[in-house]
Amino acid sequence: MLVEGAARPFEENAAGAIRPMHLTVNGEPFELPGAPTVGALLAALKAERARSAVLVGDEVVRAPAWDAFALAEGDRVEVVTFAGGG
Amino acid sequence: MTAPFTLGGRTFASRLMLGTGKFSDVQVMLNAIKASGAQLVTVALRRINRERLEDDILGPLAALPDVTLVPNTSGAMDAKEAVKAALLGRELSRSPFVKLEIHPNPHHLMPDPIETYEAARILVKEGFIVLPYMQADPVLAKRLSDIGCAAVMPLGSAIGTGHGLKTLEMLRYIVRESTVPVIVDAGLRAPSDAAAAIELGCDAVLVNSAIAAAADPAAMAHAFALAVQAGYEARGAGIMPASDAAAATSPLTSFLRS
Repeated sequence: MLVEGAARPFEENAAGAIRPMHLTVNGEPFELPGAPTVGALLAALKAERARSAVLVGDEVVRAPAWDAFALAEGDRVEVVTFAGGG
Repeated sequence: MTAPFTLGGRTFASRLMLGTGKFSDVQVMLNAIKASGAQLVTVALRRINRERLEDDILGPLAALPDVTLVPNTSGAMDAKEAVKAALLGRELSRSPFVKLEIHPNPHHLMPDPIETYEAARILVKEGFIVLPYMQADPVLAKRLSDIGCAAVMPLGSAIGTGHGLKTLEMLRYIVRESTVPVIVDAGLRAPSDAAAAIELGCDAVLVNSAIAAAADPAAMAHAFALAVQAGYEARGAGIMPASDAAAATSPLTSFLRS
């Protein structure tokens, strides 16, 4: 459930560089070009890395793994931060 | 001063825990935390908002000396979701504490005991210091402490209602039997509720709405801190037993009768 540093095997796809990848990010459809990593997604979201935590499917992807963790077509991603709460 | 409060092998001077929800802004929240003296402060998870710039609460909270964050699992509908929330909270907070709360029914927000138990079992194995929000049930309290929860957090009344210590009788049983700290969580309205909880033997209280919704949150936070201290000192001083028979404190000699 917890991914330390390992990346998923990169799926090579001849058309991958131009075909957008379809993700669901925080419950909404989101497209990214090519074969993005979690790090690329955070950049596209303009998320502050120090204030973000990431769930891909059922896996918590830890910060050191973000830039190597390849997202896959159809992945459901949650990017969360802290809010006030009791 | 109260005696130090030990939780999960760590020691805290304050027996008042503070929630950070419902404050009008971050500065009001920070002022209330400072005025309360709280060292254990709960926070919740939410999705990042792409549309608008938001207040950063992690930065200011992390900058407070002596404050340890306790991420909660609010929003989790079952054990699986709560475990995910706890892992995400730990990534953000770098804190081993988690306030485990699973309350799937938005009408009463009562904790699901079965999912809470299952999640607690997993989170203890994952190395968390688990503080489970629970119904004021002495049997469940024992089961949760038996599997390694660092404390139990029975409710006083439903979250955010301000109905006070409706569970008083059950809290007495829990306090009498518990081998881990008892932290009353939810429902406290006024400082007198906090004092009453500590007087009856609870180790700490967690307050949010009563402070955040006060007209002057910082002043109310300080009032709660005083109440917790008063309750603790009263307990140490030995509270007199109640009696159904009146006993005069003044002489009742009949010298005024002509």
